Amino acid sequence: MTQDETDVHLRTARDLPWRTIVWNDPVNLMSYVTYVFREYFGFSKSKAKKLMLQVHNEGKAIVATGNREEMERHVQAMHGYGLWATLDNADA
Amino acid sequence: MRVARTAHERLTLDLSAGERSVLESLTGELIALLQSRGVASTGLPRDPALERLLPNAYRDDDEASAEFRRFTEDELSAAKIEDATAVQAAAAHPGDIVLDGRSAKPWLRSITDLRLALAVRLGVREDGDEGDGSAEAEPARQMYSWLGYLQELILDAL
Repeated sequence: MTQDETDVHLRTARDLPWRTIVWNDPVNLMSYVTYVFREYFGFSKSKAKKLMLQVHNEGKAIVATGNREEMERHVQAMHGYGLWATLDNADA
Repeated sequence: MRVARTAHERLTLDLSAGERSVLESLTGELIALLQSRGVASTGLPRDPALERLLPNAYRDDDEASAEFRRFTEDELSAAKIEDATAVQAAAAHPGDIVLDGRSAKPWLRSITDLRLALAVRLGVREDGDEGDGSAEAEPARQMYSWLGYLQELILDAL
């Protein structure tokens, strides 16, 4: 592989969308999870509630996508609110 | 305990002396727990309550989690200590506690941290689970549900 090809390869890997995932836990109240989604992400009441229900019913929800640094910030913020969140690369 | 909504995004919290003292001691324990963690740690905390308060950021990547932890955990822990300290200070003074959207935030977050730590101690694992049903665990169980009730009231009033 030439140097150019390596660069292209790295760039593609770097640009792949990362995701912030919030996982269900038995402790956090549904009203609190909705509050966090509204407060931190600025989601509408209905969007926040929909995502909260997805977490509750399906065990997890993707609450944001973007670059890795951004998703790391979101995950840290979610941990600040006591929500169980992780990030991953959608294509990994 | 009484929570009254006094205006838009403004509420008054009226706690009994007993409730204040419970909050003071629980937040004190939480602060001590967080302070027991060394600075710039990279491994998952051994204490299960701390592990839940400071979880891994990557589900299946220990190396990335350790790296993330190295750069963010101290800040996260300091923020939690700051929240708990604000609640502790407010609980230490008799009289109504007035909260608005902004000042309620450390309360909501710290109540969550307290419930997360208590839930680990109680062994709450699934939705609807109340954990350890033993007589010894009764005080912790009561605090856990009281904190949930308090949080719900604050959220309702906001």
